[in-house]
Amino acid sequence: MSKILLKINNKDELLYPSDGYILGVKNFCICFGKTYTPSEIRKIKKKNDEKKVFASLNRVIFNNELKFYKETLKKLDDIGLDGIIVGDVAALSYELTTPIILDQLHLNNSSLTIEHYYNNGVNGIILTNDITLKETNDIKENNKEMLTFKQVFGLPHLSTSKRKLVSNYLKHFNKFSNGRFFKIKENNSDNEYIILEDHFGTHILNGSPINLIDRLSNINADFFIFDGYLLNDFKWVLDAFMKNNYKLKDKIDDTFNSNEGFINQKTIYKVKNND
Amino acid sequence: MIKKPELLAPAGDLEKLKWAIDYGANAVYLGGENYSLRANAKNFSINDIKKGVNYAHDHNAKVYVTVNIVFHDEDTINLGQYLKKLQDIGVDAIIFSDPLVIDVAKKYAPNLCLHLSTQASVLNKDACKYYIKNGVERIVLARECSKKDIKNIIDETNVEVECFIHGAMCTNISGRCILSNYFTNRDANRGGCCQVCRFNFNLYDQNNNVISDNSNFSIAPKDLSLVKYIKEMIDIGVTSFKLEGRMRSIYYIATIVNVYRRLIDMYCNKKENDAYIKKAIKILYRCANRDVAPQFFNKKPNEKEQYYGNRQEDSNQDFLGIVIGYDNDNKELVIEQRNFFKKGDKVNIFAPAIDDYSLTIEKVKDEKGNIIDVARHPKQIVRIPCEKKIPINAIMRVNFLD
Repeated sequence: MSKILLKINNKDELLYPSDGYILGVKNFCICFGKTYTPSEIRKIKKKNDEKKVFASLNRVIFNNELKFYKETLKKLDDIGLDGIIVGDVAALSYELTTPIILDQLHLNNSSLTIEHYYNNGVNGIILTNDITLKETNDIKENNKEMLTFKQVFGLPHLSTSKRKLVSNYLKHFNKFSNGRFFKIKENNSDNEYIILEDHFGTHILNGSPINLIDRLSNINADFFIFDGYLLNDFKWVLDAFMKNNYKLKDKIDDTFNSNEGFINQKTIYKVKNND
Repeated sequence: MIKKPELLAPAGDLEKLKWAIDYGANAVYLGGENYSLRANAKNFSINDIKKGVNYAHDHNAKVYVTVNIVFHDEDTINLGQYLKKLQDIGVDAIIFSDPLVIDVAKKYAPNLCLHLSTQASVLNKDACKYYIKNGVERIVLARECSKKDIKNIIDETNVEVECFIHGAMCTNISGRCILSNYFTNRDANRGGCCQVCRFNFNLYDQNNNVISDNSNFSIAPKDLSLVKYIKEMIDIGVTSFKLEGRMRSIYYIATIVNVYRRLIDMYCNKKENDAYIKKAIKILYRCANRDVAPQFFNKKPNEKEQYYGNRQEDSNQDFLGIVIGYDNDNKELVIEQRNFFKKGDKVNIFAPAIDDYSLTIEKVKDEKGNIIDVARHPKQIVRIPCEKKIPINAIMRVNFLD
């Protein structure tokens, strides 16, 4: 039975029902509404010993950050977490004792890739949000020992830049606007995307969340990730996921304009015949 | 003793491969029909790769083949056999991003040299160490690395480092972007990227108030150019200087290879020439008609390194023709036309073995020697007077330098 992990974006969410938490680590994570220091994470783990607790450092690391990164990982390693989520393979050379979960956003899409990482000390993998149900299940089937994590609700991450793309624009045109996030739309398109900045740079998320509630029993993954980042009033959705109440699918979709993402849709890449 | 870096050029097809090598590239990189991030380019068949390798090796150059997609299960089926073929052909290295390639290569093509693509977004020495431990011999660093990062990585790991020095670049961390997948269903990490980062958008605040004017919000970066930093790149020990542009024209390839070849040779021979650097900047700008910046090399890019929804490049008609012969008796260049030119035009001719040569076209003759007003037809063969003997495959362009 897969466990549901709640990505914590607000301290109140620590009171929400779930099988465990994913906590963003201060300075080293992206797309978290709330971040924590290792000592704060230690307290949360102690208070929630019955729950699975993962700490996330889900971004690439610059060379000049390595010392602090390594120190932070070592502190986290002492806590006894259920896993440390890393976005940079640098962490694989630090001989950590806590299970390492790799989250390279969109780079881990095949069984052999995941087998490679398993053979190199990785214990779990967060799968990209743009692969199909079959691919997701085949990966698990072919890598039974590797823990797999699949986002089942929330705004999917699409891109990350080191640049401050919105601030640059505002500065260039001498405009002012603030807020947690912005939205972008193409002319003649109803599709909306969220763009936001943080300490790292700029991230783009899909404007509509993924909702896989009626796929839960078909997805073969060890952990389902539920992420309410930038969404409001979603606790009832989390309740529905915890109870596998797939009958609420349409209501969730109507409320959040959600969809199933790529779970049933393959991407294409050859659009020209070069013969 | 200065170690001369490799100049690595893109080869979109066999013809471009030859132009790149003839104009001074020490190595070229190309994509096969599968597994390459330019899925919609005219990629190389195995037979073409073989021809390319033979041509390169005959000219003391190397060939690297990109196997740099992020694989899905369905893509892995014939990979082992493909890598073995590349090994048997004698390619000098493959450039990959997905680590499964390491394992498949070890099994099927253990002698293949492995270069890690920039798509793996390696930014630090400890990530380098992971790949070195796994048998990788060269790392193409992420384009977000600064000079200090690059130097420290080289000093601490001693790995061969390849850096992009010129061309278009992703706005986002390479590999960690699937905008194309969501916008168009085209898989960015399997070669289908539709370059959403070049699109124009309307920008809204979170309350849906429009901020932008006429869709002038874009996340497009200006192109990368380290033309002013070649000496520093040599000094810190970068092994390979990489040029972007597998989809570009032979004119673009010949131009940028020619410029960077001269710059590298100039610095390595300790013959710095400020006038040539100024000229090089002008040539490189005209060649793509896009603004350039050193991007992350010397500082974090700011608002000046981003485009804002305006037209980012103009069509370029500088490429006038290719020299296909020289008539010693009549002192005439035989030119295969590429763009319109006429009597009185000021032109400039460049080639690997000669200094740039400028002249004013005194007259234009057709193939039979008849005087004509203009050369207006693509691939038309014409003759123009020229006192200096110019080698074949020299390129004639608009003289925008004098």
